[in-house]
Amino acid sequence: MKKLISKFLILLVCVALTSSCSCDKDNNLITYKSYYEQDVTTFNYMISNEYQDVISFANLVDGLVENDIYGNIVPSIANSWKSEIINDKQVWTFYLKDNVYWSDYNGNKYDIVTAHDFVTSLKYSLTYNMKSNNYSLAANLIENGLNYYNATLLSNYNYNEIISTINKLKISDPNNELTRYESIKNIFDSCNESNLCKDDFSTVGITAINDFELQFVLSYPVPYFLSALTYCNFLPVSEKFIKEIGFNNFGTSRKTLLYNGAYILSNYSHSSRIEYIKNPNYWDRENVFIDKLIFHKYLGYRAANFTRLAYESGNIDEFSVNQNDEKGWNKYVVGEKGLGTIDNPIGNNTYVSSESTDFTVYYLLFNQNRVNYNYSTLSQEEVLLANKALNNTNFRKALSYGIDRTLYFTNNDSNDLLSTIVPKGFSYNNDKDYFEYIIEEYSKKNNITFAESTALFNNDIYYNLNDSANYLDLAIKELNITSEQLPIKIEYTYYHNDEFSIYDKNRIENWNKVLNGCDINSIECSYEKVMIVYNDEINSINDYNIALERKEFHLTFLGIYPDYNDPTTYLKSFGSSGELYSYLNHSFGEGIDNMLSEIDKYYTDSSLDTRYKLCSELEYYIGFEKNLILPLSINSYNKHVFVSNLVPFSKMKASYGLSPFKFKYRKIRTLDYTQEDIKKLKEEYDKGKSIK
Amino acid sequence: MIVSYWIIVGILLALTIVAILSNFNVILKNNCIGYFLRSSTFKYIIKRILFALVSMFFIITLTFFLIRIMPKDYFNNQLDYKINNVYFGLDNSNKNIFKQLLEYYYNILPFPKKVCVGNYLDGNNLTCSGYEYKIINLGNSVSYMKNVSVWSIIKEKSFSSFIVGFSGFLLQCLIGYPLGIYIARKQNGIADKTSNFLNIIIIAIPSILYFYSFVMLFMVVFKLPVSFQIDNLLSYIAPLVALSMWGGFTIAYWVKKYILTEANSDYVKFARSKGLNEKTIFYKHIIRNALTPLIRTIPTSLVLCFNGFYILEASFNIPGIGLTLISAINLQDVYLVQGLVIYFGFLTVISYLMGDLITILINHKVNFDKGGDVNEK
Repeated sequence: MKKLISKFLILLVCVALTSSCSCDKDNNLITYKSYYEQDVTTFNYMISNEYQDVISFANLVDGLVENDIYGNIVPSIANSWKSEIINDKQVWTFYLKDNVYWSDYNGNKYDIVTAHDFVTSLKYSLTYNMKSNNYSLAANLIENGLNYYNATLLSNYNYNEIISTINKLKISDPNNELTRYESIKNIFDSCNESNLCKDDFSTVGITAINDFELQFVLSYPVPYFLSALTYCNFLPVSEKFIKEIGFNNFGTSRKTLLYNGAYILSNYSHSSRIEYIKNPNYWDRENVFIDKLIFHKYLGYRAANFTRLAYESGNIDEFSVNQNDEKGWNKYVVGEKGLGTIDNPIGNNTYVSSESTDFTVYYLLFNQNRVNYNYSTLSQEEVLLANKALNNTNFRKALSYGIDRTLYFTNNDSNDLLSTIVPKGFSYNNDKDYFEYIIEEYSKKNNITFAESTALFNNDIYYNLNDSANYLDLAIKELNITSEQLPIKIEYTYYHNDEFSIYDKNRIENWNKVLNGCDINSIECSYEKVMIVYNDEINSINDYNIALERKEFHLTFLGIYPDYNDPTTYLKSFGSSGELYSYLNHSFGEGIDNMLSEIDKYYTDSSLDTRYKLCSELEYYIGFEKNLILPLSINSYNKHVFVSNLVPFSKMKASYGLSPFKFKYRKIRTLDYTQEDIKKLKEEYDKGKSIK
Repeated sequence: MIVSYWIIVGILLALTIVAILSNFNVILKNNCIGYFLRSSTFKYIIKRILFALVSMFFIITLTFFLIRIMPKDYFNNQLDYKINNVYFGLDNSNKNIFKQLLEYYYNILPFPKKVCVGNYLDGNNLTCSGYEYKIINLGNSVSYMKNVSVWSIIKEKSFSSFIVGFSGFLLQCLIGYPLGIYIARKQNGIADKTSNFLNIIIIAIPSILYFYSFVMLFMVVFKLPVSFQIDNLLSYIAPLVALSMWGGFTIAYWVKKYILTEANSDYVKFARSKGLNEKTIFYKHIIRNALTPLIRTIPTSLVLCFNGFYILEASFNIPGIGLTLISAINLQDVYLVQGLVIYFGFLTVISYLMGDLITILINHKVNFDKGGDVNEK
């Protein structure tokens, strides 16, 4: 009997294990597998603009327009559109397709997508109490958007209470809440002055004329409105569905989401995987070629060959070859005979991503308004001296010209040197790159020829030891700093894992040596004038985030991702409503704002030339004349060599919005592509591009 | 699929309980429930349960205060999300801390309470779209998975943890016990030496390296998926093999050790001198006595399967609860950390309680007469 029982138990275990197996029923589905790095926090596209969330709902919900594989803006839910000027306002009217359906998580039709859905979505993201993180683009673009947002914000507060709280906080402010309350008071004041803040959404410039006709009225005319529409601010949502499940539950799981995009979320489990399956009701089914997308959480091993081994064992379908993985690099890039290079790799299915698609740029910030020094290694006097120094233009120039920025990329091949605020190749006037406008402006201001300044821009335009030393001496003289006060200690904050901190310390050491006039190779150098100090107290990502939030640093770097296709997407972050404004000396605010509003006067396609000229003037002012920030690097796949099971050149191309993350048009290859095949594909692609 | 799994787990648990009850008939000894209720065993059980409840009270209260004496910055980062938790009465702002504590007890006590589960804009007003009865209300996650209720995260994650933990535990037992018995019978044989060697190796190398080598082994050599998927049997193989070897050899080592201790005791020598054959001595006498202390730990281990195993989960992408706690701390998700700490505390209390109760049921030799404490004769 006992033997029987034990046999029975073993049998049960076996049954239990097999019963939990679907045994690959979906073998005939075309599947794409890959890794993801950061977990999605929510699928609610009305409140989130975080990178990891955005790339996930790009495939789930479609907006009015999208990009094709050549980068042109093409209709998505909208069929056609027109823009006209009525009473000095730019009015855009969109005519929607009538065959776009919402699907639920089972793939059943739920409702038809109408113009009202776009209005509802914007209403939720512009209402303050919904705590949206991505209201700002729409609030600034759409007429009365910001006024409505402010009105809903103020409805939570009482003016007299705010005043008394501010008075209390002025005496003691243990939690650093003063700035928050002061900004609320400022909104109160400006709203009372203008009398435009109305708690009524019908005043906002978006109207559904009928079910399939949608109208936007913009606060000021812009040339880039269509590209802004590809951003997640302007995705639709069904009001009926929200009433059913509640806004706070929307997008929390696959069941509380409606889909009109190419894919339906079929599985999401935090810190494990995300799975998408093709939407059977999608309006453009013919262009969706992959049935299933599976993203596993990246296991987090730092071994250089891990992704290659995962690719070769069939765990993933695409990887970028790591230069530190010698075996993989030889196999896919250099080849047996050693003939391949990064630009011309040798392996099958290996291709270099033709152009950069990710225009996230990194700037080195000079914090000119530091107030907090709780986590600092410096004393109060040292912090104040550094503040004073950073508010001096010549001192900022000395710092900028003294850093060898190429050192930042010693161990990181995914970054390129950035010389300008708006990266090269980001926006074009016909075929003229905006970058050329900057070169023109630079040569005009410095009285050199176009060719000369092009040569300067091709190298590191900032790095100049003599200039750095001169500017530093000038700054010290201007600031009346006595020799007892020297060196000026500048605190640098950046979180690196262990692997990177060594490089980081080397970089800072080099920088210090250059600034104090020592040779880079010299072993001993007394830092007499300036000393960049690394904040050792910050040793986790949490500390770093807190330091960033409280602006407890003098130097750090910060990334900016473009929202629409126009240089102002970067430049506006320096204006008084921009995200970088709080780090700048506020005396620059008015000047920059005036220039930005001047730029906005030129919005038609024919005046694009003037617009870009003005933009380049502003950029010269920020980047070279006043040196408010130092452009550092751009996330670039130029140097990335991909080995992929996807057909090359089948990806939607855009430098902004959701399109680059979409899997529509993408195909899984059935045979191996040799380098010659890839060249042929590239030729075909170029031909198609020139026709379009 | 999941339902069938639970049915099987239920049957297994029921079988275990029936086996325990029929083998060790403390309760049914005199066929008299009344006798049991008056006995010191009953008093002891009641005492243990009361102790468990008091511990739970302390855990909940301490967690509440410890989370709230965190630096204020910790909360300031989450100003944006407070509004959602206001809806659930778990907001921590502008209220007397003891009032908050009472509200917190109310939400956490397991009885049904009506809470609003959804909101929408009606004109400009936020209106509740529906109410629901919730048994335990731990609030909503703020940055791990925005607006998802903490209780549902705990349920989902501990289920994955349990599936892997329980299957691994069964395999550990299936490897450990027979192997232990085998190597005890054939001492210094090849099997004994190999398992000793493996045991030492596994204990000696760092666990992260151990699991990483399994990831590499299964991915590169066997070309199997190493990222866990609950509905794909192939992806179970790698973590389960790693996990069963991790504990299996240790169990075998202890089984062997207990058996050898028993084999040298007087009653074995007596039995041998009486002329009983070796097989009968080994299986009828030695094993029964040797395995009792080991089997006693099984229910505790079963409960702790819900606890998750961080390194295993991180290595094989198992969406388990051990990993969740680490992520929640990293993401500064106050409500989730609070909920998880209480959940882990609850599991630990329950597992100790079960351990105590099982000791009573399993052990013939326990005496309850003196002061109600467990004294072994």
